[in-house]
Amino acid sequence: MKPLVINPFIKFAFLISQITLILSTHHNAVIIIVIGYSLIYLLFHPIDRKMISSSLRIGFSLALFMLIFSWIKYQNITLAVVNGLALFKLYVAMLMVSIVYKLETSNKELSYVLSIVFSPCSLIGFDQNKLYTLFLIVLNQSFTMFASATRITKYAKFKNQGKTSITTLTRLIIPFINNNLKQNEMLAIALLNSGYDPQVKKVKPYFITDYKIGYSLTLIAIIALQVATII
Amino acid sequence: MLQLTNVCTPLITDVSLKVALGQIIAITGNNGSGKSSLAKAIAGHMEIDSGEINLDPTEIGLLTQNPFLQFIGYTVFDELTYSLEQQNATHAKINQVLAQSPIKLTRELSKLSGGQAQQLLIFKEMMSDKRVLILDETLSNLDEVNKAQIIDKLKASGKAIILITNNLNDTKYADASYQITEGKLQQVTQNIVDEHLLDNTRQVAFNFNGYQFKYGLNLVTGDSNAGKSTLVNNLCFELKTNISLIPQYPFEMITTVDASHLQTSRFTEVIGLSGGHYLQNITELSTGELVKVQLIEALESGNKILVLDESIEVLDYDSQVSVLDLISTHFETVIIITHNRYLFNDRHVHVLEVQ
Repeated sequence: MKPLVINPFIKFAFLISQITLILSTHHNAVIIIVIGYSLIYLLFHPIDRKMISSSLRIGFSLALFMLIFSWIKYQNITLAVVNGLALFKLYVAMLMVSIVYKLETSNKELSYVLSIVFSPCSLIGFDQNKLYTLFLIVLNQSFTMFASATRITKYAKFKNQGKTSITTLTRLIIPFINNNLKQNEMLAIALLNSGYDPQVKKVKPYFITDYKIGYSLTLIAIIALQVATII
Repeated sequence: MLQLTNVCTPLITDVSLKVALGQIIAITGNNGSGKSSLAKAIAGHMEIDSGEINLDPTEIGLLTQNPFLQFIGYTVFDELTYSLEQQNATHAKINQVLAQSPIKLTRELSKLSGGQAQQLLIFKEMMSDKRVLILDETLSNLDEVNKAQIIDKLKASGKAIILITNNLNDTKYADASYQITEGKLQQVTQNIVDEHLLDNTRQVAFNFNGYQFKYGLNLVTGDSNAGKSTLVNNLCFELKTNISLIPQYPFEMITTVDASHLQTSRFTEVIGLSGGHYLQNITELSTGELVKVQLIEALESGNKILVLDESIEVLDYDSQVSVLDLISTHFETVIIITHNRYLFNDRHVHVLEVQ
């Protein structure tokens, strides 16, 4: 197992290039290529279908909102449908790019890349190790908090049989606040246990990535194809 | 060697203690007696009023009951490598630690069972350079086989271990046992009684997912990650009414900022939540006190079924016994997930082994 730190940057650069191309050009060919390679990728990787279907539902809702908004504004149903579809198309492309990036990248890699991207923050006391730890905690704790929030919601529904929505809301908010207060205390202990030292400015994260040149070339080929179709 | 000389905290006075490297000591005491405060004070997370601790906090690791709140990583790999990176470990050392991981490196931490999560945190600390480890109820979700293996490894690691526990059976692993009574730490000899369960010959209350639950005490056992919590949680969400649940980590279910509404309850005194503890902010209560708050709420609810998902472990021994007596008479069916079977000595229980 050889540690390699170049891949996280290539993946992040690819993500940024895709977002830039999608948002700046709105070009159909770019979007078709994005959706195409994402679908091929997803065919060979385990995915959370629930998460994708709920994300698509959000996309449909946004598109519907845009359709209604455009229709009210322009009083033209064709224009409203075109606007709604355009938003949905962009949403799906962005969703696909994000899903592929998430499946391909660990939070640790993203935290490291972001700690380098935001390295100028060291001028205000946020050096690289602090940023790396901060991003790692924020990204990871968001998943822990989500899992905890799911349990809290279940418990709130369970304890609230036949009561009002106000009590349901209280049953959701208070455990969440209590839990987070406790979590903060525990995180301070965890950081000390891990040997985190605020005086240490740099960190050398340890990664395992098996593919290098072939993977990087594929990403470059995708960008080249998109640029070629735009030109 | 860890040495405490005349240490005083707000709850404990004049603690003097020596723990040699390679030695395991156990500390027991009632809920709210100050066990966790002492642990935090030793590990440098709480200031001591007076006295002296010979080691620097960086040489002491503190693990608490809920491992999920102590994770920094998203996967097992992230969690193990983060601390090694911070300690500036070499790649050879990192590879060596990863190769010995008790849990698959790609597993997401939020999807581990309570027992697996505790196992991972203990492994991580065991591989660190710390000289002292304090396990504050960190063994509570582990089955006996895993617990014994971990204790063997802890002994072999050569670290000084402080085991804070409510499970008197765990004290058999310790070289010396101490008890906190009225703010004093005293050495004690614990008498462990062998497990002797009596058959529950009562009628079947209901069937769920192929498991038969009887009236009276039902003991749900099984290995870590066998799906015990999933089974009882699904049961609660399916039945919805007439059932009370007290989960493993009570913070997620407590819906008040204090427990003042329990002041007038006739159960407060019996369960041992008196002395104004219920007026404190919920976040300042110990885990055992939080479980007591939920137990009183469950007793007041008038529900017929009670489910305890590994929550009885956090109560002190006297409370465990009185709570078992109380719930046995107040609920028609009690379902308890626990690895602490000796608590049910000479009681009629129906054992369900989850595979």
